[in-house]
Amino acid sequence: MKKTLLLATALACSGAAQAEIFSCTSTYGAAIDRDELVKAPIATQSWIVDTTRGLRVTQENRVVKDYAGDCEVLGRNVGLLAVCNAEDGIFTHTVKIQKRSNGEINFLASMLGVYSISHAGTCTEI
Amino acid sequence: MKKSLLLAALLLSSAAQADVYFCSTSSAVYVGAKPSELSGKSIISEQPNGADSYSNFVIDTSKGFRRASQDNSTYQGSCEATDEGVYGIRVACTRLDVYHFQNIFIKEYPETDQEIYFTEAEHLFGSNVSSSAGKCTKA
Repeated sequence: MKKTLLLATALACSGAAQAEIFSCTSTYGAAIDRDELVKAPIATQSWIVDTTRGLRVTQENRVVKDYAGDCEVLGRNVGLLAVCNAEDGIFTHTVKIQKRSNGEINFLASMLGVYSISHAGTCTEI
Repeated sequence: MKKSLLLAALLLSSAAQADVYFCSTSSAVYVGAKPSELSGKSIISEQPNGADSYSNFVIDTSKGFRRASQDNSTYQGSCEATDEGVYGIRVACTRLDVYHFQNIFIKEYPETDQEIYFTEAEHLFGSNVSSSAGKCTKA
């Protein structure tokens, strides 16, 4: 019984330890539609990236979509490379986050819907 | 014999449901964050009316998608079509590997005279994302 509990606790802790959470805010973005460049630069957009829970989409300190979608960790050879996807009912959000071995973390994001919106920016690990 | 007929019917039914779209890019943008300039500098370029065979796409909902410039056997990714009733048909295609993440979104309105449009984004290995948008025709 003790062994089972210990194993379950260890596995749970191990799972929790694998979660990596980042706060990402765009520093630049551009929007196009089927006809033309709509706007550049565009308003700042933020995401909380939790590699185990997906994306939380925020705009102007308001949560547009709480954790949704999923993330796939593509590599850990030099830092971290992960791609996360989520839908908010209007846009499909894709955030690619790259944490480098020197500690710098940057991201690129796209939002597809009526518009195609691209963002680039930096993240902090939280 | 009956089972074979049923299987054939199912296969034909599945094939009949495949839709093919030819999509032409009319606007494109490139956003990148250079690794050496992670303070947030980015680059943007606009290519209005820059449609060429590389920028255009062929989407087969049963096979995936490819650039018009590619051989017609090189479909990549997978697509899912959703009938949203009065809101029309939505097609979402995705391709993911360690070097690329690419998705395409197509919206087809229920009225036959309404145009079909698409938006696309490709996250390349490294630090840039290219996106495009334009109109489609259905084969």
